[in-house]
Amino acid sequence: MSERPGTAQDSRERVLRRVRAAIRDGAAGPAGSLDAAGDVPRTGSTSGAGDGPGIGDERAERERRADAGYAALPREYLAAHHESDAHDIVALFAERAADYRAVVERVPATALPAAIARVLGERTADSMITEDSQRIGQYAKGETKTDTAHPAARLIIEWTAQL
Amino acid sequence: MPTYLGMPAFPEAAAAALQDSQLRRNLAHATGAIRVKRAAAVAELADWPQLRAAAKAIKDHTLANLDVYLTRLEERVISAGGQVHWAADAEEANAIVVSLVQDAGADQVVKVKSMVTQETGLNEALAAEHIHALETDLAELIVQLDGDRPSHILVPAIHRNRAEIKDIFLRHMPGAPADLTDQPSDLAAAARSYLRRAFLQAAVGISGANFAIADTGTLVVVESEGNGRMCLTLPETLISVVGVEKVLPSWRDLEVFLALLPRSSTAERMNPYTSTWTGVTPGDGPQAFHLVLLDNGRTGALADATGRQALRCIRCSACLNVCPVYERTGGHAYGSPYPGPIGAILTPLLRGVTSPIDASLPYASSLCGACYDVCPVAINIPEALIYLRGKAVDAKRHGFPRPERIAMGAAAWTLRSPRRLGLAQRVASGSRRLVGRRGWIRRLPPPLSAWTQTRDAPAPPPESFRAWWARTRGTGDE
Repeated sequence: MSERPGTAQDSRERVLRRVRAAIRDGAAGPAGSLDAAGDVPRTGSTSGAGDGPGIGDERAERERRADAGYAALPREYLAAHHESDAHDIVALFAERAADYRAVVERVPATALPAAIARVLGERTADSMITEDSQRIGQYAKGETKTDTAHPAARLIIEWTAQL
Repeated sequence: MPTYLGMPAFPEAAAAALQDSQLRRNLAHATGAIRVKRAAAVAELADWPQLRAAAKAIKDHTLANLDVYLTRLEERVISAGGQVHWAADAEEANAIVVSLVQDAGADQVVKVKSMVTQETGLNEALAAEHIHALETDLAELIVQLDGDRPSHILVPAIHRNRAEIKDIFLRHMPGAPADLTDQPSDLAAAARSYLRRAFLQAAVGISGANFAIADTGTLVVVESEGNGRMCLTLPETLISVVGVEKVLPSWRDLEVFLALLPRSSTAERMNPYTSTWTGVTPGDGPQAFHLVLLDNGRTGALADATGRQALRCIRCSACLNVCPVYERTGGHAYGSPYPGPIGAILTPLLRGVTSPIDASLPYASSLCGACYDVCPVAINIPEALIYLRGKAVDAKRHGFPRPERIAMGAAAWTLRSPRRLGLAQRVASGSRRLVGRRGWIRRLPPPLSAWTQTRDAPAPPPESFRAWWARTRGTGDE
C-alpha cells in the first residue's frame, strides 16, 4: 500500500464503493451518489473474517455468481484457425515469420550446425550466446566446450570450433 | 488531463487544423494505408464476428462484476510479491507514483507508451518534483522531444512525416548523428542509440497495461518496438498505472483479445512483443512491482447505462483510422489524450460535459457509423455520441428542465383531470382567432416559435368534441 498514512485504504474503499454503486445503480446512479454505497471487504479477507457479519458471505456469493456468469459466456469463435491435420503448421509458421521480415531457412537437423555456422560467418561473429533451460552461456569462436545441455548449442559449438 | 488545459473547443481547434495542408496529407496517407491493411487482416479470420461478440460479452461481464475482479486481481498481485495502490483520481495516482519514484531514489524514469499516464498528466507531475520521465516509444519520443502532444492513440506522431522527424531529432536529440537521413532505419537507429543508455541506467520503469488478468495477477503489455520489454525488465522498480476497466477475469480471455487487438490496431496478425509479468521473481527483472489502479471518472462512466460501453475500449484506434472527421482534423483538435470517435465519447464520460471543449466533443462526428463497424468490442459510438449530445445540451441549461419535459409535464397534469382538459380545450378554441389563419398556425410567440420556425400547425377547432356533444347530444343539430 501507499506510504501516505491514512489515505491508501481510504482510496481503496472509496474506489470500490464507487464501483459497487455504479454496478448496482446502473443508469439511475448519479455520479454524486457514488461514494454512498456499502461496505468494502479488506484485502485478502476472502472468508470475511473481521469484516463484520455477512460481508464475507456476501462477497463469496458475489464471487460465485461472477464465476458462474463467466462460465456461461458465449465463446463461439474457432478454437484454432489452422488445424494441424489440415495444414502444414511448420510451413505456416515459416511464412508468418518471414512476413515479419525474418530470414527463414528450413533445414534438416543434421544440417543445422552448417546453417548456423554459415550465418555466423556471414556476420563475422567472434562469439555467440546460447540459452538452455537453466542459463545463458557465451562461447568464443573456436571454443570446443561441450558441457551445455542444449543439443543444438553443442552442435553449433563443435562446428564453430572448426571455423 | 492537465496538458490539454486551455485548449479551444473542437470547432475552433478543428478549423485551425484544417488549414494545415501538410497535416492533412500526413493523416490521409497514414490512415488510408492502415485502413486497407486492417481490412485485409480482419478478413483472414472467418470467425471475426464471433470473436467480437465474445470480447463484448467478456468486457460487459467484467464491468458488471468489476468489484469482484478488481479485488481478485489485487489479491493475486500481492500474493505474487507486488504491491497494489488505489487512486480515485489523477492527482492521487500522480502522488503515489511520485512518492514511489522518490523512495527508489531516482531522478529519471523510463516509460512505456501509456495512455493512462497521459490522462493523469504524470510527466508534468514528475517534472514538478524534478524527475525526468523519458518516453521510450519511438513516436512518443518524437512528440516529447518536440514539446508536442500525441495526436493518435497508437501512432502518437502520425501528424509528422519522416522529414519532420529527422529535423526534430537533429534539433532536440542529444547525440543525433549530424548526417542523419530521413530513412526510417536511420531514424530508428538514432533513437535506439539514444534510448539504450537510458534503459541501462534507469532505476525505475513506468508502464500502463493493455490487460490485467484477475485470476493470476498478471499484467500484459503489447507493443511493436521492444522498448516496452526493456522498461518492464531492466529497472529495479516497475510501476504500472492501470485504469480499473483494464481487468479481465482469466488468462483464457487473451485468446480473444490478442486476436482482436493487433489486427484492429496495427493490422498485424500478432504484435511483435507481448510482455506479461506476475508480481516479482527473485533475481530476475524488477525486484519491486507496484500496481496503481485508477478510477479518475471511470466509475462515473460505469454508472451510465449508455456510456458504460465505452469502458470496453481496448485502445486499438481502429475507429480513428476510419473516421472522416479525424482524418481531416487530426488528434490535437480533440483536446484530450483520447482523440477520434472513441475520444469523443470517452473524454466527456470521464471529465463530464460542463467545459466548452468537453461539451463540443460529441458533435465531432458525422455519425456515419464507420467507427461502430470496425470496433472490435462493438462499442456503439454513434449511439453514445447522440446520448452525450443530449447531456451536453442539458448541462447548458444548468439544471433547468428541457422545454419538452415542461410541455409533457403540463400535458400530463391537464389530461389527468376532465375539468382541466375541458378548460384547456375551451382556451385552445378561444385562441383560434388569435393565432390561426385559414385553419393553420404559421407563427407562434417565443418560446413556441421554435416549433413554427420550420413547420405549420393546424389551428384548434372552433369547438371540442366534448363541447359539441354537450351542446347537441349527437343529434347532428347545429
